[in-house]
Amino acid sequence: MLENRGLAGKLPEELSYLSSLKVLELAQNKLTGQIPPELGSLNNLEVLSLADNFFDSTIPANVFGLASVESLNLSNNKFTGQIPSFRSINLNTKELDVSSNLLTGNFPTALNLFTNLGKELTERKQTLS
Amino acid sequence: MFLAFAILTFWYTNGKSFSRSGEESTLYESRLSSISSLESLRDESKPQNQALDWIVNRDPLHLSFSNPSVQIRYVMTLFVMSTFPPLETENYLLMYGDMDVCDWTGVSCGSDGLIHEISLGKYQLKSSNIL
Repeated sequence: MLENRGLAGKLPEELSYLSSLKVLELAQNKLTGQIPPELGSLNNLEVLSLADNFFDSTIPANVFGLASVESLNLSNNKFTGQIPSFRSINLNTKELDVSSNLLTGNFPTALNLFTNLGKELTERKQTLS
Repeated sequence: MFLAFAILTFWYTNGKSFSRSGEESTLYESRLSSISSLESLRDESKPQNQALDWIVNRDPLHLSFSNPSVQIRYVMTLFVMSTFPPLETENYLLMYGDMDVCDWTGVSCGSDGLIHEISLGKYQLKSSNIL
């Protein structure tokens, strides 16, 4: 029982009802399944951290385009599919980390235009294949 | 005699279960059907049904179906029931069930009274501390 720590299971899509949500920080747990695409409607969400869990499936495209997002950390999960395209990413994003997943494709070179983002992404390219 | 009455009152208001009539339950169900599907609210194997049941019959705050807070409280209860192991869910709701969701651990609200933050990263489940 002592080892039974951390949140597990799937995120309910109903979280999208909390439209005032600015921060959703659930890193380092044992959450599984896909990110509910409904979360893409959280227009006030600034920080989404789901790093170090067991999420899988593709990352819903609208998650990268979240209207107010500044920090998006989805690293170290089991996400599959393509690395997001330049057009799908909100230009106000300051921090984007999708490393240590099962994503394929190349980082769009245009991402280097993101002043706060380019360096971090370039450094992490190597960890993606 | 007075003591017996007091004990009964205490039992009535603090008892785990506060069963409402089927008609009343339907009012909650209808209110929450704007958030979750009726199918999930009625399926006893789903956390949506369990969260509805908690709000209707077990929530120490006994919120009326028309209370504006009932929907947000339902969503947070559903979140807990979906992601916490069953024993932890019981413990968490025992600890925080008599509080507004803004005071639940891991939840922060703005001055508007709405939930601004859910932070349960690296969450250490507390069962060993409570029991």
